[in-house]
Amino acid sequence: MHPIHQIGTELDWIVLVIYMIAMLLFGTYFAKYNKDTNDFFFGGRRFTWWIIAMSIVATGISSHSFVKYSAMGFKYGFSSSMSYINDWFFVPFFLFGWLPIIIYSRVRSIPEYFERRFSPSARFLVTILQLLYLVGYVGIGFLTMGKAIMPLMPEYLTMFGVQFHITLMGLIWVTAVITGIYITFGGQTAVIFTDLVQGIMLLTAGFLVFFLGIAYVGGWHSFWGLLPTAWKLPLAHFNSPAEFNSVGTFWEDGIAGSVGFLFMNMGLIMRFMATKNVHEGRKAATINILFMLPLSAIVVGGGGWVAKAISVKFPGLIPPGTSPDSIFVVISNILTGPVVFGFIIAAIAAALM
Amino acid sequence: MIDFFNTWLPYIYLYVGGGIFFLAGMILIRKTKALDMRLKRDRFWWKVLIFGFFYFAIMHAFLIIAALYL
Repeated sequence: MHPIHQIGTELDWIVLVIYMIAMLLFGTYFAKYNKDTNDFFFGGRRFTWWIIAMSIVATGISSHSFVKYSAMGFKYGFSSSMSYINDWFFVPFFLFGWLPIIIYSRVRSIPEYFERRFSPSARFLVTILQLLYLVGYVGIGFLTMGKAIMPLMPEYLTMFGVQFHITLMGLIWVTAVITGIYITFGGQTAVIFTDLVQGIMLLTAGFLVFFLGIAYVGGWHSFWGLLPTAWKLPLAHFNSPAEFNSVGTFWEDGIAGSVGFLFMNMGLIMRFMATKNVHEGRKAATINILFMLPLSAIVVGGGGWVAKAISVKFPGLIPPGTSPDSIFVVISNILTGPVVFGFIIAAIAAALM
Repeated sequence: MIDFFNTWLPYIYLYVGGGIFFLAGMILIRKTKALDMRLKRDRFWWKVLIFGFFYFAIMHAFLIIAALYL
């Protein structure tokens, strides 16, 4: 598969840069509320459920979600939504087990809880486990972010007379540094409020691509009719192919992924620690899982779904050999014009912040 | 027509397998009194938890039927 370079226009780049700066300024504004560590890490523990619920949308839909689930949607169909609609099984444990513990005990981290409950050794062990989990989790976010931006970049960039070869790893470094600076200076209040806006922008961007794609192929009936039956099933085939099947997804995502996300992901847990009380936390989690996650499944997979329908109706429109990882960016570019394309890429790029 | 192995079997696997974890959670939160049925608010949450399970089960069933027959 060939890497695609330099799609989009200068206008898209302008929109991208303006959007990123606006989000940085927006988040930085809230840094003034940081008076102590409680404010910095938990936003003063004062947030109501709907702010947290929307903020979690931007946690559940990160940049890598668009890349990963559009690719899966393109390859396998509606079953790409599985990961977003199999989280209810552990909700009783979370709402009435873990959530009250972390809010009532007023711990600052999961390892701290384990030290209080068991011993310093338990804290050490949990810290190592969390690091292993989060390094992978954040690392995948950076990797796929790089993959999403890569098609927009030229192969070479000349600055101050020096020619730089644009590589995936180079993009990852730049993104990581910008994100690190932003989070360090902004704190949790900045992250929550930025995520609130980001959640709305991400839903808008994803639905925009999805609905434009449906209109492109001639409406819903045409879209539905173009897709093969097997491709429209919401659950993957039972136990094949090896890389994506129902049994594997159930254990890997429905069980291990849900437990990891709900119980070990400090990014998510800190959102709940920022709620006013347990009841608000329960409402935020419930609304998010019941309504926002199914919508998120459409938002992140929709690009791949419409790309599939377009590839059936207009063979050759999507460049042959396009990597599935680039499908969201490629199809967004086909469906939207300058500026709008820039907005979509900006929205998913800023989701990493 | 796609066979049962790749249509309803994944559905049964998901909701029977997941249902075991869900049921274990429901029993545990009742037994430990983390969810106290004497409280009106907790009775509400009990109903929400049961609703959520069937909400997703019905949603998936509908999507399978739509894929096969619509």
